[in-house]
Amino acid sequence: MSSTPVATERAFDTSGRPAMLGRVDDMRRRLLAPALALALLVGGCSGDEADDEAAEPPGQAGAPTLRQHPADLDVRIARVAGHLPKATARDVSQRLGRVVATWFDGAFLTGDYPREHFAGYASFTRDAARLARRSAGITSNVRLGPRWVEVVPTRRVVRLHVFAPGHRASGATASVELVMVGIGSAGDASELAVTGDLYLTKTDAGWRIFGFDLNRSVGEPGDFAGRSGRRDRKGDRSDRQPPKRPGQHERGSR
Amino acid sequence: MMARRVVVLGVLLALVAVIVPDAGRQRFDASLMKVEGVTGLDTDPGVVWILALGSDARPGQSVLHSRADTIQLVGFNPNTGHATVVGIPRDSYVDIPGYGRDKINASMVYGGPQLTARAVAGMMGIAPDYVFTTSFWGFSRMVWTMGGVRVWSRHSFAEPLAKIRRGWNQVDGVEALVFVRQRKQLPGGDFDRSYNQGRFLIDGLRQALSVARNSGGLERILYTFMKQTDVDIGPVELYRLARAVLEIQPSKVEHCVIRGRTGYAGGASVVYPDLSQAHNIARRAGRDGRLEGRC
Repeated sequence: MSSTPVATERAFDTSGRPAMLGRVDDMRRRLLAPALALALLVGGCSGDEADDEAAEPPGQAGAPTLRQHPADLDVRIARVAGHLPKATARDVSQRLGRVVATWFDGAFLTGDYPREHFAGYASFTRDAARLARRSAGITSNVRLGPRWVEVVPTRRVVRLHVFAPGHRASGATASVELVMVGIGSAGDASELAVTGDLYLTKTDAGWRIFGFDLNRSVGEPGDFAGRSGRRDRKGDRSDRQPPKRPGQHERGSR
Repeated sequence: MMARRVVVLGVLLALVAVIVPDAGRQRFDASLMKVEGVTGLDTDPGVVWILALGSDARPGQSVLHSRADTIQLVGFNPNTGHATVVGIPRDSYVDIPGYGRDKINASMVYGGPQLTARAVAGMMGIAPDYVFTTSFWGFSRMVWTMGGVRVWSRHSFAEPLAKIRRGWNQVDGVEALVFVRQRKQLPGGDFDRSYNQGRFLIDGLRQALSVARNSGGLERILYTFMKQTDVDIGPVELYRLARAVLEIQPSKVEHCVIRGRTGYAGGASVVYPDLSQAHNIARRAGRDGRLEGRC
C-alpha cells in the first residue's frame, strides 16, 4: 500500500464577482486486491460482446475487457430550499442531471481508451472550466486514461440540494458519486471513485457548473462500488463517501 | 436544530444596537444590495468587499434612512480564504459626497446605505461591492435563530439585560445587542465598541460557516435569509456570493479598527480618523484580503 500527497486547490473567477470556486482533493490509493475484483473482470478477448461499453478499442485486439453492466445515472432531488411545483422539480432534476452527466461522460466515461486527452467541461462556466483543466488530474481521467483500455461506470449518483426562492430554481449543490472500473492492457483492473460537490447556477446558456469540491480515490475493483452498491434513497452523504483508510491519503492546501 | 440552520449568513454581516421593537412600517428588518457607481482605490478584483451596517432605526423609522451606528467593512478573497474586517467608528468625521463633512453615521440619513458606501469608499479608498443593512430587531432575530453566538470579549461589563465577562461568552439575541452596543463601560469607548462589533462578526462567521457547509445547509440558510431581507440582487448572484463567503477560513480572518483622535466639530463630539491608516489597510487588504497582522 502506498499513498500519494494530495493536491488541493481553491480558486475563483476574480472578474469582480465570485463566479466559481474549486477545491480538489485527490486521494490516490493502492489497495490490496480483494477477491471480488475478479468477479468484475473477464480476461481475454471480448469478441462478440454486444455491449458498446465492452467494445474492443481500436488497436487493442486481444486486450482484456469488462463484462460489468454500466450503472444507470441516478439523479434525485434531496431537498428544495423554497418551493418548486412537481413538474418544475422534475424538469430541474433532469436538466441538472444532464449537466452533471455531460461532465461524467466527457471527462471519464466516453471516448476511446487508452488516451491522454480528455475534455468534458462543456457544462462548466468558462472560468470554472479553466480551473478544472488546471486540476485535470482530479476532474478528468487523464492520469489513468493512458493505461486503461476500457472503463465502465459502476455507480453514477447525483443528489441535488436546490435553492429555489420565488418558485424558481436559482442555484444548486450537486453531491456526486462516480465510480468506475477500468482495465489495463495487461489485464490489471482498478477502480476510480470521484466524489464531492458541484455548484451550479443558471446562466444565459442554461445551467452551468461554476464551482467544485471533489475527491478522487483509486483502489481495487470493489473498494468503492461494492460498498456503495446500496442505492442512497435519502441523499445521505454519509453513505456516498469512499471508505477511508487511515494513513492511505493525505490532504493539503495551498 | 433547525433553528440553528437558519439565517446564519445574515449574521455574518449584521451588527447592531439596543433592543427596540421592529420598525413597524418597514417590511424587512434587513437589506442586502449591490453598490452601484461607488468609486475608490482600484483593487485586486479577487477581493470582494461587503459593507455591513447596523441601523439604529426606532419604531416607525426607516431602517435604511436612519443613522448607521455600526459600520464594518469586510474584504475577503475566495481564492485564499483570507479576510479582513475593518471597524469604522461611527463618529468618524469625514466627507460625505454632496453633503460636506459630517459624522459618517449621518450619511445613511442623507442618502441611505448607498451614500454610506460612498462615504466609506472616500474614507478608506476602497469601494464596497455590496452593502448589508440590518435593524436592531433584525440582528437580534438572526442571533436567536442561530441559537446564539459564542463570542470573545476583551473586557467585562454588566448591563441590566446582559453580563459579559472577559473571555468567551455564549450570548443570545438580546445579549448580543448589548455586546455590540456597549460603549460607556469600555476603556476605549467608541473604538472598543467597533472592535467588539468586528469581533462578533468574526465569531458569528465561524459558527455560521460550520452550519452552512453541511450538505444542503447553504441553500436552506439563503432561503430564510431572502425571506427576511430586502435583497436587491438576483438570487443567482446571491447564491454565488454566498458560495464565495463560504470560502472564508475563520483562522485567516484579521481584524482592525481605524484609529483616530477625538475632538469637536460644530459642538458635537467627533472622531478624526487616521486616514493614512485607513488607506494603508485598504491597499494591503485589497491585494488578496490579508493584512499579515499589522493594523
